[in-house]
Amino acid sequence: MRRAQVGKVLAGVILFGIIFAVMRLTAGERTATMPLEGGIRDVLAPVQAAATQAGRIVYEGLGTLFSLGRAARVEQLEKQVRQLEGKVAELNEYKVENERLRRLLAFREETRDRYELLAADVIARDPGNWFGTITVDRGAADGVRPYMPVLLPEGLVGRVLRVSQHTAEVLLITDPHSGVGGVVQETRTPGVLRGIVNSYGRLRMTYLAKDAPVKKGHTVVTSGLGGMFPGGIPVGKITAVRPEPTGVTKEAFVEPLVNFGHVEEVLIMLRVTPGG
Amino acid sequence: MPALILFTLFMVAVLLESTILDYARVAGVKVDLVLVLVVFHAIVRGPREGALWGFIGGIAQDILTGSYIGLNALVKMLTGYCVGLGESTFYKDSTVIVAGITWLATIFAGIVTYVLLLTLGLFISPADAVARVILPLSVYNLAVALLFYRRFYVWETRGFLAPR
Repeated sequence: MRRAQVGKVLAGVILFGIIFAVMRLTAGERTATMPLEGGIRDVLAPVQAAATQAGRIVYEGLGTLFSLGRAARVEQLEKQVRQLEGKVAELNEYKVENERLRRLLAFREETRDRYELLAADVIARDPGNWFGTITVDRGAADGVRPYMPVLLPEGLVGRVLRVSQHTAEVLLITDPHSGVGGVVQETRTPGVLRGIVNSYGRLRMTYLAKDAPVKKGHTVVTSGLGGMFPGGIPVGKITAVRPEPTGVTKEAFVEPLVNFGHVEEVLIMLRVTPGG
Repeated sequence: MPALILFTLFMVAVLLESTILDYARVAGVKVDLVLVLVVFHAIVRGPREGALWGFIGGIAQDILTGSYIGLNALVKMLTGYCVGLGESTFYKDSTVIVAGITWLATIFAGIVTYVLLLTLGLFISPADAVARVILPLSVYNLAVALLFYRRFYVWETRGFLAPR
């Protein structure tokens, strides 16, 4: 091999090594953006917001044009159904909790009344297809901090991953990095909800006891274990249950209540109000 | 000047991917416009240019993604280089051949991404990776290549991207 060729190969290996090292360094859960990264995001935020808004208008306009309004109406009704399902799950959660604890508790207002919530618009999404993150137009300047839960009336959306001054990146529960402590509402069976891949589709609920009476149609809510998410936030409905490959436990597939394809605004839980 | 226009084209592609193109998802995936551009450019200009613009487009995606900075840069750089190696052998004038190469390049990029993620400690079931990302994305990219390669080729050979 000639010297020039050896040099090229060596340069390639060094470049690969440097990029791989940067990948490793940024693979963990960074809670803040790097200065350059944060600056670029803040500068791009208004452009992304405008582009997303334009896309939304075109998408909705085309939908109305091609279906003479039917598709838009169906989507609106589907959204209402999901919201009501989330509401039912929320109310059931209170009922089950009350029964289980056998204590007389004053019926609390809706779950979101217990939290201080901040509304934020979705301005961008992960440009790729492997992960599920969204960027919202609220950041450190608005009091947003990493690990804050993010939700919608229908159910849990995810949590704040990292923040720049005026934007925040939200890790969706469908992302393969995501792990949420969950519990099957009807049977109180605990498990861990993990994203599969991409920002769409199902979740996998693992570590369910082999003999747990979990079945299709059951509702999954957050367990509150781990301290990241308050308990009782609706997550989704079980669509299938099967034994895990090891045979020791079983796993369930969960369809999220939130339609992640059409999330336009989210609520960031700044804090749980005292007594909540 | 052509380089500046190409750079703008890549930045617009990244911006579209993170905004409008999310509304054009098919089978859960959106087109990887940056990868398609890298393949087009590498076919016409060869491995060195393919790798360079693969890196530029990929790093722009990485900055917006926030995780694994360098992942897309590395994958697209490698894909651009490999596709570019066939520059002198591919029949560049044929949209169908280029679409086929785009399909193969997408599968290659998907496999490299999967292996790198595995190396970095993120396990995704191979079946999910193939069924939910790699295969649908390869078909989507192929369709986009069929639609847009001819125009890009004219730009690269006789239009504003042609070397001065």
